[in-house]
This record gives sequence, structure tokens and C-alpha cells, in this order.
Amino acid sequence: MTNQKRIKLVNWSMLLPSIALLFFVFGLPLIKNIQLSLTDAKFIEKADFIALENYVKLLTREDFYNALRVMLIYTVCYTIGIFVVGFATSLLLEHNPLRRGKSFFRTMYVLSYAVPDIVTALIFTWIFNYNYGVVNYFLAQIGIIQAPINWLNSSEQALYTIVLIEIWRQFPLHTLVIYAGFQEVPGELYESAEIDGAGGLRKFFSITIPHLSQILSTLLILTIIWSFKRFAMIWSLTKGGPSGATETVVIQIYKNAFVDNKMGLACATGVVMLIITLLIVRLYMKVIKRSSE
Amino acid sequence: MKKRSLLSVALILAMMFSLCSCGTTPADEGEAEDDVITITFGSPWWGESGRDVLWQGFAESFHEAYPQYKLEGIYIPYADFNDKMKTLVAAKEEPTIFYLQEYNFYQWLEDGYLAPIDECFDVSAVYDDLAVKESQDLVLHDGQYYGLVVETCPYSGLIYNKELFEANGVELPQNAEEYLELAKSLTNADGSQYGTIAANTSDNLNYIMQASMPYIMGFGGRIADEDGNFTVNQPEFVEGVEYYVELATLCSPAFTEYSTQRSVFFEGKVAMVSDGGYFIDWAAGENESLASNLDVAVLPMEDPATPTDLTYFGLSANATEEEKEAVGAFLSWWCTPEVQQAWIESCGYPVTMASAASEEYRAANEWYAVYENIAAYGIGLAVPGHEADSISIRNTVAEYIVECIEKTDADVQSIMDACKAELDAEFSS
Repeated sequence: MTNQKRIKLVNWSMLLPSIALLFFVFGLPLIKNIQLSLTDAKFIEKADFIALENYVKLLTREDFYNALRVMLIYTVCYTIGIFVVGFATSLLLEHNPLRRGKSFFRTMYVLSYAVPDIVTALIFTWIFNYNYGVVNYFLAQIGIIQAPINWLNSSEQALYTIVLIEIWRQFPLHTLVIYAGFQEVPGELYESAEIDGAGGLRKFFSITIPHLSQILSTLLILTIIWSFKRFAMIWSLTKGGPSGATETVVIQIYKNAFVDNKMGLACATGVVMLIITLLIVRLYMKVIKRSSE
Repeated sequence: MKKRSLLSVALILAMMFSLCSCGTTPADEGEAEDDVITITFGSPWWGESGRDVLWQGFAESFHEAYPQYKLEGIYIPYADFNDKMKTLVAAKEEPTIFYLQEYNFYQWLEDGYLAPIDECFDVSAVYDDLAVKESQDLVLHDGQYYGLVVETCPYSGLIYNKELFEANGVELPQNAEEYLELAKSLTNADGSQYGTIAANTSDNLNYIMQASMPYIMGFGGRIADEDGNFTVNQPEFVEGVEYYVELATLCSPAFTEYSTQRSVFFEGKVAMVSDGGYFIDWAAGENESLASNLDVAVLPMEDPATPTDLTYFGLSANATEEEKEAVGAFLSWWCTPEVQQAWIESCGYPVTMASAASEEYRAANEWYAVYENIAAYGIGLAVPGHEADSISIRNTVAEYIVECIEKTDADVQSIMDACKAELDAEFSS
């Protein structure tokens, strides 16, 4: 055996435990999932092979397309919203108008991230309650609304209310990542730009954004993938209702599996969801590759 | 220094040994545990206000009566009961016996969750003394019983607040129109008083069905006919939904979780509700003075049919022979008059044994007769012809009823037509 071959063998033998672990943790469940998606599996009874019937059923179901549409709207609104809030709060942190208490504000920002989803959902169920909610109360007090708004139980508002709550819950991560990005921008660039007469906006778009582009693109892809997977908050607040208005694909998978007892169909939905996520991951890898180049 | 360290170590060791000697030794524990067979019972009752204490007491009394057996409670919330049971069964960690509802029975039997209760308890020995024999017969399959009936809970009891009725100078309604008009007239715009409570949010679809079906059935509406044809878009069903939408949007706390609405009732701000007898005991636990002002009448609908929740003790298909012996002892103990009389106090409707409703109980709770009488018109929650899919079908119907409530100006007929189309596409072979 040549020396090079021996090194290769040692390398592979060192990688083997990780590969085996990955196979057991990700590979096996994935294979099992694909296998179940080709059956009429329920929970514990024996499942029969039905080939692609679940996929045909899924792709001809109106509620699947509704779930995709809801997921898309949710992702777009959530991503835009969280970036706007993340930028605004990190800029506030960076250019603290009070000029002091930076660590205090940093801690305050992170508070919502520390609250568990279920607790957040319970709090906001009350805050947005139709009859007794503090939001409707204040809006009525200052004369903005005449009748209470049905925040969480109307098919028109529910999804956007959830997006709002999710942004509140998740924005600290974006704030901290963007804020950390700000620290990487060399101060001299701003000084030179100031000498050249550049204003705040000009500096932001010509210096800050280009320097943050790598961080932002990675954060963007991750935000999209995370938003696809969000479950706990939606389930706790509306369970996908009313009338499927907040039923994302993940909620539909849960309902198919645990409410309607259709494990095969749930697994088929999971496989389709996986393909969509893989496409996003592919995009993510491209971004990473471009960044490293 | 060295001495001091040694002394510290010695002291710590001495403390550890002295602490160990305070408790029983592992050997003692092992011996004690070996003699006792523990069975688990999964149910929402272990966590329900009032019933939690009652069931802890039951567990202790059972252990006193049968020291060789022990009953251990597993609390599974009502709202998530079916989902949790599925995961427990899949993980082979299900309780030995569990809360089994009639509309779950068919699916769980098909899915292999259940063992015949006859394997550990002779139902025929108590059959003649059962309160509602028809309820027991619903879990008879291939000549074997797959459960022992625990309660027969009809929901069409009209529970009303006598104090609010007197304060507003109103009488009990005699028909559906009067009921709706009364509920409207007793609802104040400022939220200080409501005519009724009615589930109107999608957070718990079970509540939507529980609260709406007494009215829908009162108009003659059924989810499916005897042949299994879906009838949710028939005039009787649609009329019932339209009626319920008015109750849910004009006469109750609008778009508020049902649990919150019930709290409003317990505060004494609601005049009427259609619910089972357990609600009165629950109210007593929440607000004693309110409970003394409550009375029950029959919901004044044209069709006397009432949706009825039938609950059983179900036995796990994975129960061991030893556990089955213990379950047999528990069920024998359960049927004794003392236990039954304690249970009916918490229910207010027919339970397992007819003897539970003693003369004293009837005299103290005159309204019990209402539930006993309407139980005769009870209709189980399983969907005829689609028993194994009952849960999914009921959830689908509930989602469409929520849509009718949410889109108050929408055409109920067209929404229920869509519901029928979805049910046909999903569940008709």
C-alpha cells in the first residue's frame, strides 16, 4: 500500500464515525420517510404499498396548494418584516441616540428571543383577543377603530397577525447578526465618505450594505428555510385555522399524520417539502460558494 | 491543613450515610414494588378542576381496597387527547387503560389499540344493572365488549342562571325562536352580560362540534344519514348552522376561545348554555354562589335528538396478563355503589351503574332527571357509515362551521355545499 493510499484510508476511517452518525440520524429517517410515503401507513397497523398514490392525491388536493400559498405569503412577509426590524434595531443599537446603556438595550432586545414559543403564543392570544385584548382596547381608546378587529380568528387578518408575532419573537437574532456585521465595517471608510460629502443614506447604501452583503445573503437564505419550518407558534395560536388561512405545509403535515391518521400522505407531503427546501439549500450553497470566492 | 481536609471528607461521608439510612433501602423498595402491580389510566380527568382531586382519591381508595394493585394517573388534556394517544401507542407507551370515546372506538379498534375488556372483566355480570345498556352495546364487536361504559353525557341540557333570569324578568324559552330572541335580548353591547356562550374559534374544533351540534340536531340536521350519505348541506343542517352562527356572533363573547367564554360564564355574566351535567359541578368548583343559582331545562328544540358523548374504559392491546388481572379488579371496584355515587356527583348524568343515582342524589339534584330523560334521545358522535373516520369528518365539518361564523355575511348554504363536496371527495368510496 502506498503512503498516499494509507493516508486516504486513515482519513476515511476517521470520517467513518461521523458518516455513520449522520446516516443513522438523517439518512435512515429519510429513507423510512420515503418508504412510508409510498404506503397507506397509519400508525401501528401494517401498511400496504400503494406506489405514488399519495403523491398523486397530494398534488391534486386543493388544500395542498392553499398550504403552499400560505407558506409563501408567510415567508415573504416574515422575511421582509424581520429584516426591516432587524436593520432598524441594529441601527438604533449602533447609533444609540442616548449614547449610553448599549449593553442594557442589547439585553432588552434579546428578551423576546428568550421567551418560549408557547408562552409567547399564550401572551399574544390575550393581547390580540377580540373582546378583551389590549390592542383593540388601545386602538379604540385613541379612536383609530370603531369596532374591534378580529386579529386571530379572521381569515383575512390571522396570517399577518401571526407574522407580526413571529417577527417580535425572532427579530433579536437578526438584530445581533446585523449589528455584529456593522462592527466589521472599517470606520475609516465612513470618515473618507464624510470628507467627500456623503450623507447618511449614501453611506448606508454605498458602504454598509456592500460590506454586509455576505452576512445578509446567508441570513436571508437561513431565514427563508427557518420560516418554512415554523410550527409551534402557528399551531398554538390558530391550529392552521380559520378555514385554512394559516395552514402552512408543516401544519398540514402534522394534521395529516396526527389528526387525520394519514401517515403515508403526511410523509409524501414531507418529501415534497424536502425537495423545496433542498432547492433553497442549493441556492444557499451557491451563495456560500460565491462568498468564499 | 491535611487534617482539616480529611475531617471534611469524613463529615461529608458521614452525612451521606446518615441521609441514606433515613429512607428505605433499595432492597426494601424492590420487595415492596415487586408485590404491587401498577396499572396506568390515561385520561383528561386527572387534570380537570375538581375531578383531579376526585381521581387522586379514587386511586388511593382502590389501593386501599386492593393493596396488591395500584392505579396511576396519566393526565392527557382533552384538547390533545387523540393526538397524544396516537403517539403513545406508536411508541408502545400507552396507558394500560384509557379514556375511550365512542367516536374513537371504531378507528382505534381498526388500528389495533384495543383488547376486549371481556378478557379481564365479566360485563354480563353487571349488564342488567347498567344505567344505559344501549351505551354499552355500542362497543360490542364480534361478540366481545371492547370497553366498559363510564358515562353517557347528553349535551342538550339548557343550563340557565336563575338569578339573571329573575333580574331581567324573563321566562324559560319554549322554542328555538324564543331561545334566540331571549339570548339576543340578554346580551349587552358593553360585554357586561351575554345571552349564551358558543364556541366560535378554530383553536379547538372539538368544542365547535360540542357546542353547535345540539342546535343543529335540534333542527333535524345530521352529518350523515343511516346509509352513510353526507347530509351537511341539507336544509335542516344549514338552518341549524345559520341559527348557531347567530348565537356565536350576536349572543356570546365573539371570537373568543371557548375556555375563556366558560370563565365568563363562571363569573355569572352569562344567562344560558347548552352543555352536559358535569358543567354544574365544574361551576360549583369555580364559583359556589353561581352554582346555587343554576338550574337545568331541556333545550327547546323541535327535534329532541341530543349529541351524546359516550365514554368508556378502554383496555390496551399490549396489556400483560398481570395488568389485565389488576384492571379486572379495578373495574369490579369501579362498579361498587360507593364509587359510583362519588362519580355521579361529578357528572350529573347517567354513569356506569343505575344504582349511582340514589334517592338522596336525585332529591339533592332535581335537574338530574332532565339529563336522564334526554339521554333516551342520545345519538353517539360517530358518523354513521364512516365510523373509523369520525374524527376527521367531524374536524372537517367543524372547520366549515367556523368559516360560516367568521364570514358572517357569507352564504351558509354554499359553504356547506363545499363541505359536502369535500366530505364526498375524501370519505366516500
